[in-house]
Amino acid sequence: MDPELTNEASFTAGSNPASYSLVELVSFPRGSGGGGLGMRMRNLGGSGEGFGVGDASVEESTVTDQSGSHGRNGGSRGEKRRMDVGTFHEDESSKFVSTSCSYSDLNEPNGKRMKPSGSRDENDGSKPKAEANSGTGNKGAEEKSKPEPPKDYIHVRARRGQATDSHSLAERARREKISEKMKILQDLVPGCNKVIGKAVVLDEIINYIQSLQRQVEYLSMKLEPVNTRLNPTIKGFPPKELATPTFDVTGMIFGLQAPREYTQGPQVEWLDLQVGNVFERPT
Amino acid sequence: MTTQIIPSNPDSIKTRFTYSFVRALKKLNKSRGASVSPSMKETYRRYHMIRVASYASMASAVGSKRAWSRAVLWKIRNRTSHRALKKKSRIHALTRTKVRENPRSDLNFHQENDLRKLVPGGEGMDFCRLLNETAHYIKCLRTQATTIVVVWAVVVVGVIVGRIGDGCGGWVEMSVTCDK
Repeated sequence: MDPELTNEASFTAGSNPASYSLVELVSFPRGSGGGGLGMRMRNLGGSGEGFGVGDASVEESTVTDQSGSHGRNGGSRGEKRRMDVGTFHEDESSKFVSTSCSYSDLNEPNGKRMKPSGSRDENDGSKPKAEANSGTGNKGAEEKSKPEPPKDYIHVRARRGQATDSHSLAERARREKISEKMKILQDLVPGCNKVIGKAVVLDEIINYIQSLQRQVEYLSMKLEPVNTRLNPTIKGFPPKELATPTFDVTGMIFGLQAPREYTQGPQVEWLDLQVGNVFERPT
Repeated sequence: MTTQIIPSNPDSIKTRFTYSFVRALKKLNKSRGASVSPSMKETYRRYHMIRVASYASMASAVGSKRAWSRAVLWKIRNRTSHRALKKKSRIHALTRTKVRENPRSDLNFHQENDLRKLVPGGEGMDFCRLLNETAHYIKCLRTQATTIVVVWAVVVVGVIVGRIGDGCGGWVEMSVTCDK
């Protein structure tokens, strides 16, 4: 059971320590009881809470919950809580099977979310994944208003106000990865640093890609008549190191005129830069 | 008189792209033959070929490491059969099942869909991978755009010099020096 406790500790590294002092205090070194107790707390937190999985969750620790009607679900997070839970669990060595049975009695309308308690007996730590929640189809933002069947497969302490089942954990990890990548993209796209919000950033990215693609098309359109006029004796067109222009050449050319229609003949219009016109006059 | 200049980073994507693009341009130019006044269709076709050449050389410069470059190369290679497929798919477009909005998509479904359409090969990826590919794609598009500009500028200068000093033939040196 020790690794589970260490998991809890490491997970709470960044979060509010005050709310978790309870768990540390309450986790008695009582062999299996300790682990079950830790699970119990989580279960209590997860069950009656009804907070969303995401970051925009209620400011409540997972230890407390709102259904303060029961003795074990004492709504306060103080010492009273500890004692409540402590006394409650005094006589339970097998972890939470019996308690969760009673739990399911209390929370009736969520029948389809509850797995039969009998199946949980052999679930203790044997399954690698918390599949007890497989009945729940919700991922992400759905409110967890129904009691979660207990899982002790992966004991990870959640952050304050966030659910702990494996689905939400995986969901959270995925979201963090996505936000990381969005930050990278924000750095790539110029002018995207100031905006906040995923939707706006995505819009900017899409606009940028579209404009880049249009630029390439426009430039290749420009190249086409130029290519025809190339001196056929181009033996030496040395491919050389092309330094990145320090100024925004593409912007300059692009800004001089909107992408023209493709119907123009390959006359001198392709030399539409001012510089080009200067050259054109003497000839 | 040609002056060969070794690029400082011979293996970067930019250099590889430049080489292949210039080669493609030369090939296109050679195959053109006499520059009769071309019809509209001919012009448009040539423009299309240049565009395809730029995308193809970009994708081959990147190689097969990225999903989008693989998708681009695949599309180009199977162009003719692709056109037939597209016609067929248009018939089935109405019967295609609507993509269900994934509740994980965090209300960005619309942009995500647009992004998938923009990035080549973006249809069959999850969002996380799509963002990866987008980042790399943006980088490569940018180098492509800036490189084509320089190529164009060099060619233009070459043509101008060729016009002004017809027998001088020194446009090569001119273009080399102007790029320094």
